[in-house]
Amino acid sequence: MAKIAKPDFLHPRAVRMGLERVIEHQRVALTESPLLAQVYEQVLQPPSSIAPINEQQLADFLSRENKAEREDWVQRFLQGRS
Amino acid sequence: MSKSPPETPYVALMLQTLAQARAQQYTESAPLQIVIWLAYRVLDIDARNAYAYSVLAYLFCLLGEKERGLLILKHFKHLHQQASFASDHPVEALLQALISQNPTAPQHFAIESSLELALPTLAESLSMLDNTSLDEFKGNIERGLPAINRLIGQIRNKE
Repeated sequence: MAKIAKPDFLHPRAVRMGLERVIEHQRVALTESPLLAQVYEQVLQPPSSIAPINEQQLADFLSRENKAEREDWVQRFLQGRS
Repeated sequence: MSKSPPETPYVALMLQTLAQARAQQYTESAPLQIVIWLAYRVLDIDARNAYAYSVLAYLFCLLGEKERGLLILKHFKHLHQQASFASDHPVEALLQALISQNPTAPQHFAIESSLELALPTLAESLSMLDNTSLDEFKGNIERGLPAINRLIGQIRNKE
C-alpha cells in the first residue's frame, strides 16, 4: 500500500489561496460532470431555499480583506435573514 | 431542546451560496470565493466537518482535479479513524462516486498524518501575504493554464 506524507498542495494556505486566485481570475472553467451533478443533488443541496446573496452584498464581502471583517459580514447577513 | 452545533448557520450559508453559484453554472467567481471562505470558517469551528470537506473536494473536482478531491476525502476518513458512513453521507457519497468513476484512483493511499484545514490566524495570513510574490504566482498560473486546460479537456473526453 502506497504511503504518502502530508501533501503540500493540501496545505490550508495553499489550498485557500490557490482556489481563490484561480476562481477569482476565472481562467479555468468549472465543469460539473453528470456524476458530480448526481452527488450534488444527493448530498450537497442546502437545507432550505432562501434568498440569494445580491450583487451588492457579494461585493461588500469581497471588499473586506481580513477574517474579522468577513466574519462581521457573515454575522450581519445571518441576522438579516433571521 | 438541544442546541444546534455552532457551525450550523455557516454550513447552511455555505451550501446556499454554493447553490447560488451552481445556478449560475459557476460562471461567477464571487459566490465561489465566499463558499471557499465559509468552508474554512466552518473548519475553524469544527475541524472535522463533513460538509466543509465535501465542498472543498467538490470544488477541486469541478476544476478537474479529481485526484486532489479524492485525497481531501481520504483525509476526512483518516480523521474519523476510517469509520463507516452511510451511503448518503456527503463525504462517503462523493468518495464512492469518484472511486467508481476511476478504478485506478489512488484509493489505497494510506494517510500518515491528519491534515489541519483550519483558517490561518490574521497574523499568519498577513505574514504569508508579505512573503508571497503574487507576480510570480500570476506568472506561474498563466504558464500553467494551457496545461490545465488540456488536462480538463482530457478528463472531459474520458467521461
